[in-house]
Amino acid sequence: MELQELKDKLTSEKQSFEFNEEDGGIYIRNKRYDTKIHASYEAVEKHDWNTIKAQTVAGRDVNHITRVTGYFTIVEGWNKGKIGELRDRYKSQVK
Amino acid sequence: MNPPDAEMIAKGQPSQDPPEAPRFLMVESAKDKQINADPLMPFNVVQKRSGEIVNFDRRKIAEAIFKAAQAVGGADHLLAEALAEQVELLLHSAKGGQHLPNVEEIQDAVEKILIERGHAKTAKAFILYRDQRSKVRRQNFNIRQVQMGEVVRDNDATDLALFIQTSEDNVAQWDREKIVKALKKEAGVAEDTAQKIAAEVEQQILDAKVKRLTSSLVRELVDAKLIEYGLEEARKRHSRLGMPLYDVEKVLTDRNRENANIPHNPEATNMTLAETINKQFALARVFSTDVADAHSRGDIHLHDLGFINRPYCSGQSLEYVKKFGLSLPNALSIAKPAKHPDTLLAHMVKMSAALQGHFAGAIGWDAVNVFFAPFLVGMSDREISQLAQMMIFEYSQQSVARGGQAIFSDLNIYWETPKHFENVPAIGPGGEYTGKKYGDYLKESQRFAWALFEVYKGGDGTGRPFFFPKPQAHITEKFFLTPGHQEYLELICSVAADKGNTYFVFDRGETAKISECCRLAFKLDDRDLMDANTPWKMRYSALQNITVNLPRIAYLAKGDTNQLYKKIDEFLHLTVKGHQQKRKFIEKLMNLKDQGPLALLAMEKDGEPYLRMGRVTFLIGMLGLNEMVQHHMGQEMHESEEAYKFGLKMIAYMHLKIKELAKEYGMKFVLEQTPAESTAFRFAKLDMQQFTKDAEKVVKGSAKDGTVYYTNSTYLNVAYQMNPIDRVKQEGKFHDMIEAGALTHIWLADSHPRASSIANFVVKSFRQTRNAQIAFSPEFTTCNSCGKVYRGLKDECPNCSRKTYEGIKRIK
Repeated sequence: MELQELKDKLTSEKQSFEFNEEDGGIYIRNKRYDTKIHASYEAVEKHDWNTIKAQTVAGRDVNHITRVTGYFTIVEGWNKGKIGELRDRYKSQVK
Repeated sequence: MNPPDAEMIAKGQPSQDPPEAPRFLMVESAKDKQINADPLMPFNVVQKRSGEIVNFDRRKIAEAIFKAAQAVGGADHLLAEALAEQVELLLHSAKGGQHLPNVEEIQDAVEKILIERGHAKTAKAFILYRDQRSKVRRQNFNIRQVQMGEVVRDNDATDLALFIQTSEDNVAQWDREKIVKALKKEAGVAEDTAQKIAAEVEQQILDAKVKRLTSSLVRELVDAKLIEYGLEEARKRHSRLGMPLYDVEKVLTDRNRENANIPHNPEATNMTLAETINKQFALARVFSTDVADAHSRGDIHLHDLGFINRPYCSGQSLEYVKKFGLSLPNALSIAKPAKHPDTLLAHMVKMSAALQGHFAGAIGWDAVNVFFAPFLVGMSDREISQLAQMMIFEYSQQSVARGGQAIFSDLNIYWETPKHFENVPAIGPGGEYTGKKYGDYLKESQRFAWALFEVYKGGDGTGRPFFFPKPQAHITEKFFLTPGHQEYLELICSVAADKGNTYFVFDRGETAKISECCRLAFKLDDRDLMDANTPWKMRYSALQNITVNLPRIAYLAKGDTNQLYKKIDEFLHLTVKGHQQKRKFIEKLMNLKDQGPLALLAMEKDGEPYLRMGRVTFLIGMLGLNEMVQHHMGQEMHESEEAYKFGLKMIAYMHLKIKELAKEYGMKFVLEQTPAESTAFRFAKLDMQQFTKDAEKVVKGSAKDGTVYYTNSTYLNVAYQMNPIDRVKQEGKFHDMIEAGALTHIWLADSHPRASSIANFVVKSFRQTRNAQIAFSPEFTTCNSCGKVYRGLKDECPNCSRKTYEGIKRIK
């Protein structure tokens, strides 16, 4: 994509992104996933927004699934007490 | 009335009088009242400033004229009366009789008559007086003296140019009478007190020069007056339920974390808002003050207050659907008993959805594969497999009642034909008896069970485990005598190993159990087993669950064991009261029968209401036994034999105690292992506030980031590094006393045991422990970018984080 296009995109989503140009390219920080990448100007030209964005997400857009009490749910919806318990759960080895 | 003129009709003219509209279509409107309808009669009503329509009284005009005349030295009352008559004629002739004069129009007419008849000075006085009144209405003014508790009402007091926003989205004109009416009707306040309060509030509002008046503000001001007057009971009845604006905004944007099942969408926020009001209502009107306060303090927890108008959990029978089809109160359509298995499935799912709208908790179905079997004769493997897929996907993808959650559904599955159904005549297509018994359909029943577990094994479209329905595989003595059980066990254990879905329910000896919720079980007694011959009657429900805060009991007992027992008794008595009050409320709703909100539960297709109130159980849950023991004995249950035995003793005591209470009150009280999804957090938080020194020492999790919790029910500390079979054994010793059901989790995290290992474990658990139910719980990570599913809890998707491009470098 065009460099300016990228900068416009990043600015329009400024709650998620921070960026600055340096070292022959552009540093992009993804605040939501706490990642940072550096893309050279050539790389920016070569790739589209989805690819570049995905690189900043870096596979961190995940959900976790396990039993909360007696049924399966997504951990991201749990209350603090259950999160505390999840951290403590001892993993059993069944041989 | 002349008969319709045929000629007229032919010409297209309307025939005579139109037919009278049916009674139910007639709506009363103010216009329909006979207001000034006869043009030849003088108008007989006028509209006051308040909008109220009252009878016209010429004497009032005469009085107003006379007062004005007196102000300028006049004294002729007869003249005033004559002038009033002139005013009436003027009004009448001005617009014909067909209108409703208001106060302004009348006063205009008075002025005109006074001037035209040459009473200029009186007219001037009248105009001045009118202007003054108008000014006064626009500002604040002093109304009148309150003399000896009696309010001297100035009629103009209600003529405020003040508008109020009501709770029905309307803007209405201020009317003090409304306060009086509400106080009398809602709060039973006497007339003169109500008048006094209304007058005082009105004065307050005027004094404050309130610009934007809402009915809720008025209500609060009235409530404050009720407190001032010492009318506490009236205030309770008069108070308003609801939420602060700020909180509503949060609810609409933030996720509800009380229940991990609730999605984040408008349906769900609606439910959260409704739950708030239901909860307040429940605590104010359903439960007595002592019970409500005990809940608010955290001594006990009244579960699902937001669903106060529903029973808790349930066990259902597919036979009911097979026999009666789908015919529900207020349904949009009626379906006769199914003839084909996919129709039966459709009925079952719809029935589940309808029921979920009437229960707070789980909708469980007994012996699903057994009851489906007569419909599956002659079906190919592929067809049965397709049916199984449809069943699981239908349930797991529904977003219906309770805020758009999935139906909390349980399927009870048997490899063998349960003993109590073996010789029961089978119902098949069309709701007719097939002539065979359920025992004769073993093969079809097993094929379906197998097909269901195969679907579970594969997971959903991306390989994630299905969240619902929950498959409860019953393991009994008869199971081990039924051919093919080894392969079947291998299959259900591979499901447990790969996806974790399988619940292994252990029915030892002669007990038969229908398991619902996470662990709720209904143990079938003799009466129930007799019902097995008319299996559509096997419908069970737990009406309410009330959980006791065990650690707090320990804190209050301060190490004195006698006090401990006393406190347990006290708390149990409160739960009994709570259960009685809930029952009373549900009975009230049920008694409204088909006209009430629980019409579905009251429907009687088989001679009994669908909800069999005579058979309901009342659950008494417990939470934090481990921390209770830890506080009282100084050790957690896994730390010493003594501590562990003490824990058993506590539960044994509760078990015996509620049996006594059950006899005393004639109510089926049973202990339940509370799942405590939010209660474990709530009790921990409240105890950290109210019993800080004690709670700090035993509470689990981290106080620093607020992730505190108590150990669920009778569990041993989840962090303790224990051999899983020992955990099953030791936790199992509590289970016989917890009749409403119990469960032990084996947390697998990212470990992936072999199916055969699980199978050995299951058999060992059945034979060598008293554990009621076990489930294996793996953990999964799913990537929202690429859709891949991994075992274990990962921060990053390996697939996505591994993707690299030239020129793009990952710094952090």
